[in-house]
Amino acid sequence: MKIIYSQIKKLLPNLDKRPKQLADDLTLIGHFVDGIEKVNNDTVISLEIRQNRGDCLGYWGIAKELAILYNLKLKSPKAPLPSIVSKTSLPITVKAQDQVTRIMAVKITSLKNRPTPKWLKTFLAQHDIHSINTLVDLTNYIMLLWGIPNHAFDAQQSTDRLAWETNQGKFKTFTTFDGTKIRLKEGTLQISNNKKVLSIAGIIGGQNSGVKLNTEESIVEMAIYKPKKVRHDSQQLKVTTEASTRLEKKLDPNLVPQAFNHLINLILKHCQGEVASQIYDYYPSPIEPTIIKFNPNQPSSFAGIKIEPRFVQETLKKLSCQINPKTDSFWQVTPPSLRADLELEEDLIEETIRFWGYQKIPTNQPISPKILPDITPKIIYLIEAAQNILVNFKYDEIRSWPLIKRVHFLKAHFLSRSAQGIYTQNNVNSRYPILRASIISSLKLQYRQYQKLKIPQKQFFEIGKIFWQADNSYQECWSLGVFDQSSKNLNKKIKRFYHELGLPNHQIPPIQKIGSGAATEINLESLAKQLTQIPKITISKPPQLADKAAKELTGQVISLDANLIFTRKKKPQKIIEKYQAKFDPNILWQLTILDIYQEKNQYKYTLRVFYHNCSSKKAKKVHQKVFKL
Amino acid sequence: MSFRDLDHYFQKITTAKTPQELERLRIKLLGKRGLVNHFFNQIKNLPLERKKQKGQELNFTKNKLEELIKKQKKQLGTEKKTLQKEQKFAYTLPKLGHFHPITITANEIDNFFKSLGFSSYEGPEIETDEYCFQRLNVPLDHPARDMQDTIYIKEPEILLRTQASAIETRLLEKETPPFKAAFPARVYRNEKVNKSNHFIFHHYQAVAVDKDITMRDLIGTLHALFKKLYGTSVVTRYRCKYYPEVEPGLGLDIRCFSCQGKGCSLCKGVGWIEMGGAGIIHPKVMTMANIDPKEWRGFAFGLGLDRWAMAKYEISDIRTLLGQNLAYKPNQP
Repeated sequence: MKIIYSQIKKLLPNLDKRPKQLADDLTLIGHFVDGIEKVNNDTVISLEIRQNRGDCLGYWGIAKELAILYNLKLKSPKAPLPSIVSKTSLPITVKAQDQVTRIMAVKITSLKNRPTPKWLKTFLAQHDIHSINTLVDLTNYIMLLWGIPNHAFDAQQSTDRLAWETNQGKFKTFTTFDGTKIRLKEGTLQISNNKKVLSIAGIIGGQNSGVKLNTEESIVEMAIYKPKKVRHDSQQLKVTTEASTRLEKKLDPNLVPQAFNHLINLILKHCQGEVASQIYDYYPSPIEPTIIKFNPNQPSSFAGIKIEPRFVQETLKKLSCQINPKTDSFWQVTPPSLRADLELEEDLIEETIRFWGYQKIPTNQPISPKILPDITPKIIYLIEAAQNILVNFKYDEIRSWPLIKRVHFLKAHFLSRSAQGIYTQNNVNSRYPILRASIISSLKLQYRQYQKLKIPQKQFFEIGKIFWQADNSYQECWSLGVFDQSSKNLNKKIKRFYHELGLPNHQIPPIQKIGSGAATEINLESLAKQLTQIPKITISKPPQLADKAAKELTGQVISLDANLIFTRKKKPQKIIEKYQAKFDPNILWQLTILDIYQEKNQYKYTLRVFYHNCSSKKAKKVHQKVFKL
Repeated sequence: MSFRDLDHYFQKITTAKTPQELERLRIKLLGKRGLVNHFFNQIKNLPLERKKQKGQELNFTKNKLEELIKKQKKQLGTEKKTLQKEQKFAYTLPKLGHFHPITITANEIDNFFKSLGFSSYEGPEIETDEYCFQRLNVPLDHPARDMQDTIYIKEPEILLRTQASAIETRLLEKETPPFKAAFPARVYRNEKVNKSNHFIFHHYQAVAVDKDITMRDLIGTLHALFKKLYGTSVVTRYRCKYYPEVEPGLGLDIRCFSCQGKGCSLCKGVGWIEMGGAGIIHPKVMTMANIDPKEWRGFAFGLGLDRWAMAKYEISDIRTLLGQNLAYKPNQP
């Protein structure tokens, strides 16, 4: 939600904080500011309002928070209604009683709707709302101010016979005020006049009854619905609006009269007109206050610092809570209806601590390092040991997607023949619908990509979950897959792997060919069962904190050869070290000596240089420069 | 030199002992600037009749050489093993093994928590709605339950876990307090994969339940962790934030390392970067796990690992982290 600094100042005239400070403080008390922008000599602050704080989806709620934080007086907009002389009752019916919490509505006639005044146009534009005409824009203004959506119908189009009902299948389509056609669903909460649908309740108004510049009569309504219903309809119809975003959260029905009166007041002020009906107010089940048992010492106990009970009491009062102290450690607290999120003692504890300031809690005391029983599952120790053994054996660890394409599906050799693959139902990445049932699928994909990238010395492993369905249940287990360029080397290493784990006579799992290399897969969970104790394997060369070996390759590794001729025999390592230093490490992948050849009194060294993340043109240029070719 | 002198190379080919030696002979004889091409160039200017005869003889010798080299190559076991041949270097620095960046990042955090007496933990990736949402006090209409966020195996019951907190619910249910555990976890969200979004992420979660846990313990632990990871000069911020599974809830930020808090495009002008969420475990979550919240109190927090690892390893595309374009320089530690 966006708030404009100057508008907040109207509700808090004594506010003396600068916008940046205000933004920081709002963040600290729970309304994360994710952007500050200067627009036309004003400041627009973007707030992330969490799901439990429907009350803060309007200026009123945010200003209330700031009033408590800065101890300021909140200036409520004065908006009295004129005395209503009309005796006409609106013939409204509420059929969907279980979905509607409160409705207020009134008819206004003799309207003189007109183009929107500049101040209102600017205000809405700052909130990314398109201006339509004064009457419609005032409804949006009130929504932003009080956080409660509302709607105005052209009464000549809608008639007075509004009905709040769920669609029983009678109406199939609906055209929104902006001309979008929507296919209605059965059960959608709507406002109709029995002949046509006028609005999808709490979500969007229709074209057939929208207020235009020539509208002279209007029915204005403000309603609160069951949040779940609005959310459900909004998702089902795939329509999200400013109204639905608010109404799918808990809003205060007791705030409706104040906001509604303000709206009517503004309409009469800016569009003239006369109130031509009694105010319709449907509120069959006023919300019951919540009474919370509260121990005023608990905020200190939770925070780990002393928070004076006086501060606790003052904060709760500022929050408009009613306090009934029974004893020093037991109060009965009744939160205001605006704060539907306050239901438990812990909620009040959080309220107290957030206004006390999370930033006042010292940061110098981590949790006690006291020893508690080790609850680490054995499999975790085995995974750690397996990783360390394989890294010591010079294998690289890879991690890949457990969701794969159908064509890549394989089953691990240790799974039963009846094991089936598991498909996802709604994955938006529909090309990857199935969970892998073997790590070998992942190794194969990695091998192919390394081949494409022309990576030398391919030796890698992956430890991850594999998934399958058997006996009508979903199953998963930790599996290890190892790839080596040489099946002989792989066999040798897997033997040593078992040896390191204390199982020297363990049978080697089947080894299968992948391209010019080979791979194998081990069920780690069954291996864990065979081990009474997992040996601690230390890393022979601990990885540095600034490990920069991992690289994101944007193209193929390029290899270029060069011959060096010396009259004396030289140590290969010295040659490599000398030449390595001449390359930019950002493009040098590896430098090797391909061949050492003696001819008469000369020693010819053929060097192969592998370049990465650079064009072949650049690689050749560097190559020629380094080797003076 | 006459091209008949090529004959003595037949023996050299058959006695070549290594693929390298054979390759040198091949280049010398059949390479672009090899002897065979040299003789072809020489016969160019001969009279037509003679050129034809010499040409036939030379072609015959060339074919024989090629055949012999092929045969010898096979014998040396090099054919169809071009890859191994390519990589059987005469000398190279020893190859090292490497951990994945996510593993290294998680291990760093693991080590910190081990020093504070934390155990590790794990749980299923295919989860039930109960353990992934309901037991975390996520109400029925919470956006995290939306179809577009959760990947379902069998809607609405079986899904791929969306958060590491699902492991927390298993832990709370299974273990008897007091306990402390910290663990990384793979999680899934139903998002289109592109350069900056993925449907697979990694979270790091820590949970502690004891008699006297406070927010001071939680904030002190988080602060010590950030100091360990980013150095003592790191500036942190702890603020109120709503999460259904905790109360009080807490958001954690570090001062933007790009602008030092002045505001830049990275931090969207606010000067801080959000690192994760935390809080005191909600009494309803404890009760659902049969832990009495009047007797025990716990904290929990979760961090995202992926962006962290990406920043550290200068990886610009999130697909690389779990994709096949990540490779390791073989000789670099």
